[in-house]
Amino acid sequence: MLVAILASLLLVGCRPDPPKALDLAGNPVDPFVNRAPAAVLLFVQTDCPISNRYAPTIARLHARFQPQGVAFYLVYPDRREDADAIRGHGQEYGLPGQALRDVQHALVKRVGATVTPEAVVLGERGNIVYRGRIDDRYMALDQMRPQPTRNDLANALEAALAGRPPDPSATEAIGCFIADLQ
Amino acid sequence: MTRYWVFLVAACFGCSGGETPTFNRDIAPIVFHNCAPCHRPAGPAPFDLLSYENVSARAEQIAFVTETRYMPPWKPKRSYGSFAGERGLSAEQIATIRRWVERGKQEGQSADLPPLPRWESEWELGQPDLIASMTSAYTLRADGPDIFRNFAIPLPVDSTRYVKALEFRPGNARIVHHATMMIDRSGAARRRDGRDGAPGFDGMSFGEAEDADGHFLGWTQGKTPYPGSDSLAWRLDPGTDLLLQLHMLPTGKEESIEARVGLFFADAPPKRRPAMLRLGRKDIDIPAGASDHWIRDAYRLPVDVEVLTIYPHAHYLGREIQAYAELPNGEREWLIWIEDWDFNWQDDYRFAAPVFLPAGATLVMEYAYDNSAQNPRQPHDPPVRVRYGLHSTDEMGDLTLQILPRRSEDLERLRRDFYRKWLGQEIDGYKKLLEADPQDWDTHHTLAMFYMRSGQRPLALEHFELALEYNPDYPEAHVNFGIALAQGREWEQAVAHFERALQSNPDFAEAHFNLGLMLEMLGRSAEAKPHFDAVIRQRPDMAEAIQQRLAKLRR
Repeated sequence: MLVAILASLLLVGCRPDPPKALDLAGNPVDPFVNRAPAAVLLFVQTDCPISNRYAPTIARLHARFQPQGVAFYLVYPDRREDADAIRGHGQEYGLPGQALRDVQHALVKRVGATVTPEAVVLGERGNIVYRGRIDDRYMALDQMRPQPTRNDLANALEAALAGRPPDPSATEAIGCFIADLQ
Repeated sequence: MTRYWVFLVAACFGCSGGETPTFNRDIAPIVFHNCAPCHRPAGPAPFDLLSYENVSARAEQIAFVTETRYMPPWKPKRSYGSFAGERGLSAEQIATIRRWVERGKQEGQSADLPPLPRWESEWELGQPDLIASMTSAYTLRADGPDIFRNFAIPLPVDSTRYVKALEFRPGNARIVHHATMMIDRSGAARRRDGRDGAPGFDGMSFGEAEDADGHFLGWTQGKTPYPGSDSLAWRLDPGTDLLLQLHMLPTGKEESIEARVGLFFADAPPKRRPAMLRLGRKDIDIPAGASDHWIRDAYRLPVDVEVLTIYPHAHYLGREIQAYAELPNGEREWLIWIEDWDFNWQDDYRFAAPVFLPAGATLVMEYAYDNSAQNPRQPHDPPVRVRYGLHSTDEMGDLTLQILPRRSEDLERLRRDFYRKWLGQEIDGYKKLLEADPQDWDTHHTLAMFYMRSGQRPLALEHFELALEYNPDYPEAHVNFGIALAQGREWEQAVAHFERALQSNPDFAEAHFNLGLMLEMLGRSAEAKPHFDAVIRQRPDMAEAIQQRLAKLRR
């Protein structure tokens, strides 16, 4: 008995489970294990105004690309946001896709996300094909176009579905710093 | 070697400066005073910054936006004009925030935490004498570009009052970026309100509305309401509407807004009245790709004045704003300099102390525009030729100054002198607008009105006709055309246009009023009477005007 307890303690101490993103029921989800032709991770936050302002754009992209087999994940990296807050936020802003809590920043670190909102497109084999802004509406926190002129995420998803690398494959996203949330 | 030594000293200076800051002792006083007035529950800015938890969850971002001086927002360059309510952090405060973040965001001793600031939940200036609100709530769409929407708000008073202060409450503070208010004594805004099926009406034009006797009525996020003074109040007559123009930003979901204003009355009519001088160019024409396009306007003051407030205005291509006075002795007195103009943070700036300018001083505005693809706010891709216009994708270049003549008796002289300059500027500008859109009926109508005011009746008639050719259902243009025809003794034609206006809008009091007078003049009193009755039903305040005009006619 004593040996068994010690063994389990050692197990916990020596080989901790790698951090994982969780769905709203608390089950681990790994978007990299992916049967869809492409997947998109959208890093969002309930109280980041820039992230929220993109909700209708995210809904439009979902309506356009989900029927083509793209899996949509909404990744919430703020540990202050619990499952209820995230559910309420999704309903309030009409955000489609599967919500994940990434409070240990497993996905943040794995893909190198820096702000909300930021998009990462995964290819068929779970490889990162695009990381960056959704479009070029914001050029800096205080520099905003009335309308976007480049729809980078849509272009990246089209490229991923066509099996070619997107151009550009990385852009700078503007928004609320994820670094603050750890 | 020496170079390394210098570098090491500099680096150590940066990293070891002072003791480790804590939130409670060092950061909270900065944030509570400079950020929390907007970043608080129900405040105009997103998320509140009133606790250690919330500030540390934004720490890197706060360090970044304060270092880049995006926050607290303040556009004018310091010491080129000194203004009331200037916002900003000292270099030392900014460095303290950075040091706090780099050294692990310590919370510190709870005894060090200053008390939480408190804000008036209702009116900051106290209980208003009159509260008025939008007649119904407006629903802002979730998505898309910014919206400019105008709302006519009735200001119900039973006798003439004098307003020394107006406090604006946005209701839903986070969607209103700024508000500009004018006074409509004509009822025109009220008639336009709601015509497209939703409360208010679109656009950035104020139509018939005017400034409140030489006062700015504006609000931006974070602006403290100005208590005003009895000696500079503005007149509020019964039947007046406030025309509220809201600049709103969609937030990602539908939002409802019902803004209110509180008015504070003075005890007596004001002793002095300021003038509003608007410099600017309406012949703006910026080639596609031009990255450094300047415009200039100037006006020589005929009398001694004090400048109270200044309001520069340009749209997305505007890059730099300079305004100054050239004094008779050759010196330059700066009024305002904004190096990185941002349409979204426009404001009227009240000088900390009135700026005295002697007669003979010349007001100068010089604005630069960047219409290249490199301008990050460029609304066109690729860039296109951009001309003057009221839409946010057109350009503007205005500088409005609230000016108080040193001697009250100089006010009329100043206004007459400036009016001549202004009228020529308006006519040139509207002609330019028609070059771009020759069928714009509204522009034809406005230009016709300016020709009437400058005594060029034949040109006015020409543009009234064009306005009505492109929009035959335009009651205001029919009435104004009718008045212009009547001035040329073309009575029957005038009658026809007043009647045509009533076909489009049977409740149009001004059309009934003018038609009644016209018929009376033609000796058709029996036909005139029902029109006067209609006026009094619609606009009881016009009863006196009818009596005066009839008495005059009968003499």
